[in-house]
Amino acid sequence: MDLGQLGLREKLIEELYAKELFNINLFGWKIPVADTVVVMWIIMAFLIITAFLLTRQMKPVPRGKQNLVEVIVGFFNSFSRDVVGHHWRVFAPYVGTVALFLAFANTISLFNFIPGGDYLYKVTGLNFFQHIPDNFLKPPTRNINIPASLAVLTMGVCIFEGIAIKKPKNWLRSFFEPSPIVFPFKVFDYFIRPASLTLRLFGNILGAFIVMELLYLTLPALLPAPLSIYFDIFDGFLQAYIFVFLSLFYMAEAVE
Amino acid sequence: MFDFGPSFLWVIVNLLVLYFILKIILFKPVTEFMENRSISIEKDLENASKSKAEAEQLRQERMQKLLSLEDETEQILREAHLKAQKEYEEIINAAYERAESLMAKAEENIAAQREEMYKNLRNEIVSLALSSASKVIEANMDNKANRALVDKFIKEEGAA
Amino acid sequence: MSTGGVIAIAAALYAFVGAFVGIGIGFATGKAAEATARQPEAADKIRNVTLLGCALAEAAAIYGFVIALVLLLIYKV
Repeated sequence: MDLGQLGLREKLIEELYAKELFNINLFGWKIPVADTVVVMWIIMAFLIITAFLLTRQMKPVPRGKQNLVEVIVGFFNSFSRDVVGHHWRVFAPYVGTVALFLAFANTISLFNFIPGGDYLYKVTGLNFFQHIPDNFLKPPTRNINIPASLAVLTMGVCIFEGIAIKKPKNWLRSFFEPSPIVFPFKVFDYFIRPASLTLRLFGNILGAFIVMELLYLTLPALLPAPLSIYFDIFDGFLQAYIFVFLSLFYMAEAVE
Repeated sequence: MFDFGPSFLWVIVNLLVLYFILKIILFKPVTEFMENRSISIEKDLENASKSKAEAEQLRQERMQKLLSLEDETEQILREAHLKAQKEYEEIINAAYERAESLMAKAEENIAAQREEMYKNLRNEIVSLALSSASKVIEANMDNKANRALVDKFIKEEGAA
Repeated sequence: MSTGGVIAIAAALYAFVGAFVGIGIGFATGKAAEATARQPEAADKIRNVTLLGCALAEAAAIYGFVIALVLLLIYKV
């Protein structure tokens, strides 16, 4: 059977490459904005607005929405305290940010019932919405740029905090401990780890995404619904958890 | 698929912005709030246990005091009781003695008066007898010898 | 055999890596379950270690999957 006959190959390639929606002109440069970045902005706006609404008027006795905030923040605090130990305060906000972003990014395809750009353009008459394709809420992590930049940022935090907490001299010395032979491996670590973080997140999300796309193509009714619970929700949260867990693990190693 | 491009930089910038915003509006205030609350709760609990211990100590002291006061009261009552009993007995005894002495005195008086009365009665009887006798015998028996005779007779009669 | 067929076989072999990784993760999870049954009070630590090990082992399967995908999508089969 030829993949091309089904149009699957073209469809997959189309899905995997980020589409450039529009350009931003900044000081004469044209900066293209891909759909994955727009989805990320949507998630960011949602997170920031929710956080702002939920943290207003904190009371000593938690009630309702305040419980949710305290559970989330307390979870990340205790999580980073368990893994990192003494310096958990530095990493808890970063880990929480990455985990919240990834949790929403991996599961965002659940929110595809929101009407697409054409409909919004008809209703509002704003030209901006014409650029938005239908069903464009797909996990931005399926594009390798996003896991890669998350992993690079995580390694950057590891290096930065390692230098800040250990002092530059001790940080440099840690490359030669316990013996100078390990130096190339320790340097190599800084390339292997982000690559492995990137590919793990990217591969898992892409795999789940491809399986779900195949299911939608071949069996559009009934079956995708229960499998979506595994591939979209469970796998998404699990991969977000594993990503931040490994990030914390590397950070703990960098500052200990 | 592996088109590293401007999205890469966009994501880094976006994530840094998200990190700082969420740190300022979510993680930092909530963590501080929760820590302050747990500190204040700890302090409150400590204060509560301290004041509870103080109250307990105070209660014990009061109890001790109350118990000793009760003992004291009982002792005082007992002493008062004893004293009252003693006084009562003394008063009763004195009253008895007084009554006895009064009785004796009264008996003495009565005896003396009776003696007196007897004496007077005898005298009366003697003079009555003498006057009746003198009337009977018409003789002047009012002399000393006769009177002694009658006296003697009456005495004998009274003694009989 | 055409080049496309060779590439398809190569992709299939890369995807087949997942089978061994599945066996490995199965072993690890089974041992973790045994350890949890033996020492339920250490469940948190065992879970963390298991997740770490599974995530690291899973990377091999993911590499296989990604390389297979690259082979299939970038070279015309």
